[in-house]
Amino acid sequence: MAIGARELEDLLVGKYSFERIPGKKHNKYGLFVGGKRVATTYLSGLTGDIDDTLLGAITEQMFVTMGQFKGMKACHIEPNGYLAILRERGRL
Amino acid sequence: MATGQATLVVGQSTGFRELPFAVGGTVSGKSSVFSIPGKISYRSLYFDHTTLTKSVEAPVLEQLRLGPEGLTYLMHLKSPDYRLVRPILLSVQSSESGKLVTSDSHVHMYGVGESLSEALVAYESMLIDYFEDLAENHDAISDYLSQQLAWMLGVIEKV
Repeated sequence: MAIGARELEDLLVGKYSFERIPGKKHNKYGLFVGGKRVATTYLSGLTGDIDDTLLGAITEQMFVTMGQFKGMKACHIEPNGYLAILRERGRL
Repeated sequence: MATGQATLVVGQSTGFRELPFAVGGTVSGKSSVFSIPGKISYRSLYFDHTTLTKSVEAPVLEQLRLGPEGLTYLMHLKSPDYRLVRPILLSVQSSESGKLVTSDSHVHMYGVGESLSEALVAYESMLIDYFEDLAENHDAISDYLSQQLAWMLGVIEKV
């Protein structure tokens, strides 16, 4: 399940409210809940399609499984559902 | 190339269990004894998947968390500002584009490169960036990210 780098960025920022974290070296995004960062996802140097191998590493940073990520991409998991996953996994 | 002690990580449903073993020696598993030849290079310890499939019994192999290419250790940092307190175990996988992807199971940083050396350098860069980022923002991160920071403080130190 490849996904374009731009599409992934749009998904994280546009739907799941990740915010770009300024930095000189790496392009990274953080999810903030209650004023605290709860996840950091690096999309550094990624262009074009991201294949499953690399996507697997990125979904680990988001604290979701590949199956859950597919649900997020297909809009089956709403932002509140994502937060519920994070809560269930003890990441909040 | 040198030989010496190394650590084999056996995947568990809840995490990892580390088993020390001598490279080229034998390891006692739960109910099996298996031999895993390996080699230690300057930066990494690398197990060849083909070798493993030939030498490891199937039930044990299923417990091993191995990508197509296997596991490696980041032994040293190239950064002049930091050094490793202990090696970091990384998985190594091939992407569809043929590039290698290294990643760890603690803070989930990754590195991508045309070669293993390139992927390790990229991993190190991301790891140090994350370490500095969390250290700088330690008062505004979740408990879990604090645990990740604690792990990094245990493996990375300022020179």
